[in-house]
Amino acid sequence: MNCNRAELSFSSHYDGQLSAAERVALDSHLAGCAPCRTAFAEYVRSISDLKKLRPGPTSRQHVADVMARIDLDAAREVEAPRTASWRRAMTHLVAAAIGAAAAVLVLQQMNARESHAPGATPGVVVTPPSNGEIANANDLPRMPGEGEAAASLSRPVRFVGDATSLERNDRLVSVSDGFTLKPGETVRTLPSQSVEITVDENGLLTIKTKTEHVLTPPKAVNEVHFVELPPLVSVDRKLVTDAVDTFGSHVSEQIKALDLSGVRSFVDQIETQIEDSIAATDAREAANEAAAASKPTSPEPEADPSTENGATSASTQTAASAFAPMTFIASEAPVTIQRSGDRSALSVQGSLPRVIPELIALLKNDDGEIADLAAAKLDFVRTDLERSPTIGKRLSPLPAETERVPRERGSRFSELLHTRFGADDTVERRLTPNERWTRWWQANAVLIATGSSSDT
Amino acid sequence: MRELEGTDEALATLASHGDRAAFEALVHRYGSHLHGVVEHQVGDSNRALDLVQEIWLKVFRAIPRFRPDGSFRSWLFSIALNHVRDNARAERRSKIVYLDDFRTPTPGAASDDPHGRVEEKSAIEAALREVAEPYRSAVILVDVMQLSYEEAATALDCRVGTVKSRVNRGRLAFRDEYAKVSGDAIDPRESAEGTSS
Repeated sequence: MNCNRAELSFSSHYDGQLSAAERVALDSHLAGCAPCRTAFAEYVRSISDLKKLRPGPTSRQHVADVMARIDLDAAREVEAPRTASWRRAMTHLVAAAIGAAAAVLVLQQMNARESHAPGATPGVVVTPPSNGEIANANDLPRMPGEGEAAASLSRPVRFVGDATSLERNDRLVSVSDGFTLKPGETVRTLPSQSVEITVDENGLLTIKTKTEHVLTPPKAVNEVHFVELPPLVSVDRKLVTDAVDTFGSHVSEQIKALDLSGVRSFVDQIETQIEDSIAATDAREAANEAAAASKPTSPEPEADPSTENGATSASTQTAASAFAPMTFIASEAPVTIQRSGDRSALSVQGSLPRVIPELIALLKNDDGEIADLAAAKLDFVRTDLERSPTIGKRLSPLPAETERVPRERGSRFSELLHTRFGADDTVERRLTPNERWTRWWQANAVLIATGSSSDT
Repeated sequence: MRELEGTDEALATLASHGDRAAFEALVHRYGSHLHGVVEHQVGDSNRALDLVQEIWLKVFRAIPRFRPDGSFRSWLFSIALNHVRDNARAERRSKIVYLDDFRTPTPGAASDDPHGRVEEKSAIEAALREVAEPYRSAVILVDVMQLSYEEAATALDCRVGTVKSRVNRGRLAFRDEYAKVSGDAIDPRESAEGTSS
């Protein structure tokens, strides 16, 4: 037996599978060949050491991890129809309650809260819609609250996403979009069983489980410690169910909060306006009384019905200063307009024969809001006068909004388009507010001038 | 977890009929073995853990088709090695970059101390990784996992004679590599056939 043949027999000799003759031949060679003897000794020693790699017993944690993974896989198959039913239910809920737009708002608000909520469901990734388009993997929140991400992780695994410019840790490492490591930092990528909840532009909710490789926060090199985290069993069906339930309750809470806050805000706004208005009225009346007490009484000029179509009277004062309900602008003008931004207010002072023509003139004001305010004020004055025990029943009523007039031949078709023809060859014509109030004023001016003054 | 008695094949038969506890018992029996085999193949414990979970999932899905007249562990390691092979092939296609590959070496690791004597286990693992396939798989199954030649032949889907030959070459290659990494000088021989370049 030569050395090469002897070496080829090492394995069988070690395993005790040589025949008696072969064993004798090898033993005699080894006895006479020191290098082969040494080589065989090394051979035996190395295999003996190799057996030290024989693994010990399996840890319970490992078994739990494996079984959890299997359960999760089974749960996914079960969850698929469940997800669909949830989606339908949630869609109906959201659509019925607040509509798609509100749902988006809810989710955005919720997303903002989720990222700061200490007790948020681990591993839940709530994805707000981005311009109606569901984000791709890169757009998904990488770290949905760092603690949350970590809580759903069990151990580090590989990163299988796009990685660019990977270099060693003494340089910048850019991993995917917008995630850059600084020198001295490293990145571990961990598996995260998460629930991805998305809503599209129509408010349709999609809830699905994912196994994402989520980047964990960078940790210092050589100081990467992995906390013993719950096994993946915590991310099984129960987590999915809990996450979905949590999401559902969050949505309904947000819906309630939204409605209530909206109503509250609106009511507050109205109340503030009313209070301001009352305060302004009180201030004006107080100022009026003070002014009346300090000035000698002068006879009121007679009402001049000829001003019916006149432009805004020179005595009408427009205060361009900021609208300040508590600030009374001393003026002798019968009608005062105050503005603040796009808001206007109208106040009157003095006798009715002075005020009413001014208000009638304002019915033709270019500012529709001023015209409306004037009309409302006139209506208020008329109602008040009609209740007067002395003149109320003698006042002519406000003319109707329309009147019948003879049809003019040769009227343009466009002018006749919205007219109604009567049997007597008349047409129904709509009066302008200015015309109606002017006629009303013409019919009642004298009575008001004499009666109201005697009334008061 | 309930500890179940019985042969692997009996447990596998129970598991194939939906007995979850029986499957769990098999995971308990072979979890660390499977991890060891995979880790020695891929050279990274974390990566191996990931693969092992995938393998168990495969086994769970396939176990209804397990035939009790065969060796369970042969069948198990066969699935494992095929999965590792498929995974490696897929990785080559998709050019996956492992961030762990860019991690700063831990002090005391082999590459951190090229001139000193490294820890024994690290040396063994390092030497084993240098043994080329298919010899490495054969050595791992027979010497580390202590499968019989017949079982290893089933797992590797080859004849027993082939396994014996691979084991012999693998052992010689390992001996040489082990001598290198552990700093021992041994008589150079022409047994480097089984080492990977």
